[in-house]
Amino acid sequence: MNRFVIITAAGPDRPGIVAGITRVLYKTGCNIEDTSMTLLRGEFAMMLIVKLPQRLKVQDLEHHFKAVKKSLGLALLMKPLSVKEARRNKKPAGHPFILSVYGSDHPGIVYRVTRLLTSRAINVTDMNTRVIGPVRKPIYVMVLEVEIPEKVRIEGLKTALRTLQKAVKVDMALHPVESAQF
Amino acid sequence: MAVQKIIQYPHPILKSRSETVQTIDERVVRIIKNLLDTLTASPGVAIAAPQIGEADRIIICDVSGKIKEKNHGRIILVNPLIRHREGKKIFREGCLSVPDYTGNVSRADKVWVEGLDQEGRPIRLIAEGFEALALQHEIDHMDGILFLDRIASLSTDIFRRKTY
Ligand SMILES: [Zn+2]
Repeated sequence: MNRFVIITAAGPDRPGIVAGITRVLYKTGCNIEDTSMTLLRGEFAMMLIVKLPQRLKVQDLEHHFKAVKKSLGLALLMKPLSVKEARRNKKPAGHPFILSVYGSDHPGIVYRVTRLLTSRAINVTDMNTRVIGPVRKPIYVMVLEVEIPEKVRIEGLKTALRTLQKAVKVDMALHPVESAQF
Repeated sequence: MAVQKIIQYPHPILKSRSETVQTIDERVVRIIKNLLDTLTASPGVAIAAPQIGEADRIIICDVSGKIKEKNHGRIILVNPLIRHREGKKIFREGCLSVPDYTGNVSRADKVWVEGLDQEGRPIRLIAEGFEALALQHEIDHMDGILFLDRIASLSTDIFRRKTY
């Protein structure tokens, strides 16, 4: 029976973090499956789905990470996944769209936008936000990739977004992700 | 119908250069027929001969079912060649031979393509937008180039800071 674990890790960025972490995984016989890693300001953040070898327990893997965790100053979290949870090729729950939201920075933008999406059963599959512009007049930019279920009417959603746009005082754009299989 | 199995990476034919077609003989006609049948049965809009296991420079593209913009309908091209490219477009592409993955690929927005039709007569056409992307993707297959060789950016890197 295959066993999986999702590892999330964050630490101050410097060369060698990926190599340090993957070295432990290689040495312990773990198999790296899907990963996402990025830099948020000076902090390197990553998520990895890893397949564990037969006899290795999650607690043992944590133990093997001790040294590298200390030397790289990492915060590390491991969550076991069942085979079902780790399975590939989940069918998308709808059509992919990109929603861009931007405006003067103030609290509540992310919450109010995502609350509206949730109320329509729209799932956020990817999200990036940044504070940009001068320190005294920051601008908030958020880009979400969402899956819009078949039953959601796009025009109705756009109307709701326009209402929210006025209330939250931001600008927004919603458009389908253009993609094709050739 | 002769729907063929679509060959998937890591089959070596997908990373090889296909041969120039010398004469449109029975074999080539059969390959074209098989490509047409296979494309019809697939979710894609275009296909190249190596994808059905034939290392010959033949592609078929038909975007008419997918887009409303002006296009050439079904294009059968033997020995296709891109003479000229203009513009630049980043688009999320997938490939029938690389399952379950799409990537942001940078290509020309407009291409001047030439080749032969299925009777061996020269064809020249100018394709734009989606059709141009499809043709470039298939013509890449002639030289063993996959969209994975042309990834322009990660889907999440829209915020990558500019460095001056
Ligand atoms: Zn392809």
